[in-house]
Amino acid sequence: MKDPLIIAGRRIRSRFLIGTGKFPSDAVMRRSIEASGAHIVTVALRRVDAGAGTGNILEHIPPGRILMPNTSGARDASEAVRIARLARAAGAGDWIKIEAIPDNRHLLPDNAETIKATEILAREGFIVMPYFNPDLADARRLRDAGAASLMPLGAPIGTNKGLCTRELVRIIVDEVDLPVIVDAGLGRPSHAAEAMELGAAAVLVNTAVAGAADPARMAEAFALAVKSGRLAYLAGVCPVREEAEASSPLTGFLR
Amino acid sequence: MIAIRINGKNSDVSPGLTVDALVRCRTIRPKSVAVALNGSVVVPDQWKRTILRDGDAVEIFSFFYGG
Repeated sequence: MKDPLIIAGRRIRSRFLIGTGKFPSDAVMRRSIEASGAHIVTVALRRVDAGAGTGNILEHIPPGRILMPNTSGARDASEAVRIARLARAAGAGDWIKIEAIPDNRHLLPDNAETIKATEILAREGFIVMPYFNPDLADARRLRDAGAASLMPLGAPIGTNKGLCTRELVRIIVDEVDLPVIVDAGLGRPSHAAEAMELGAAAVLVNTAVAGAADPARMAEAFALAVKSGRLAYLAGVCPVREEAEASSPLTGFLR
Repeated sequence: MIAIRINGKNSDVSPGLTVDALVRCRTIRPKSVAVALNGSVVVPDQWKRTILRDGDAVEIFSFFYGG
């Protein structure tokens, strides 16, 4: 059954995007990425300290993946734009996940700054994947600014709370014609399945995999949940009813 | 010696040092490195031609773990 994920005209092999933060070791990270089947893998950009082995992380990402740097550390559009340009100069290609996060406690994104950065970077030929707080008007602004997808948060980063923003994400899925990739806060595979069931094009998970007792196994669990949720969406999920409806006929009882 | 800043730290380096030479002594993997000089990106093609001057601020970046 053909159901390709297309972002910016490119065919993406997996609806499960994975991050590289918080893993207990490079080997575990590598095995988890392999188990996830992810095609797009996010990384951060940081200053290189003298003596530190640089490029190490790239050695531990299995081949054939699209590297998507994030602009983590950026508090506003100008910082996000700067990091994006540096990431491209470091050979990352055109994909960029915009994170413009001014607040360190809740790590919630600043939508206005995200929109500004999207406009600038889209004009410079980046494939812009903006991480934002699910607001419909802002989703439309991001689309108009040239975003290649929308990445609404499910819950604050690292909280594992699940799809707290489900109603707002659902509205955005229904109203805006761009792939919606739920990113942040998904804590278990059932959360990912839920996001896919309501029509998300993909999910991005990091903490819930890296922080699991067995990250590679959890990556596999998430991969299955993403596939399952997508299949359910395509199959047409049954509506909720207020009254019971028997599954077995209410006639011909043996009494 | 000339005084420059590398990743926010003061450093004395030889006059005539190029960005390329600086990167190569900081890292063994220059292919995944980005350099900003006084706030502007210096593309790898320009590293050998860019000579550092007194007061310059250089930042060297590479990829790291993140989600």
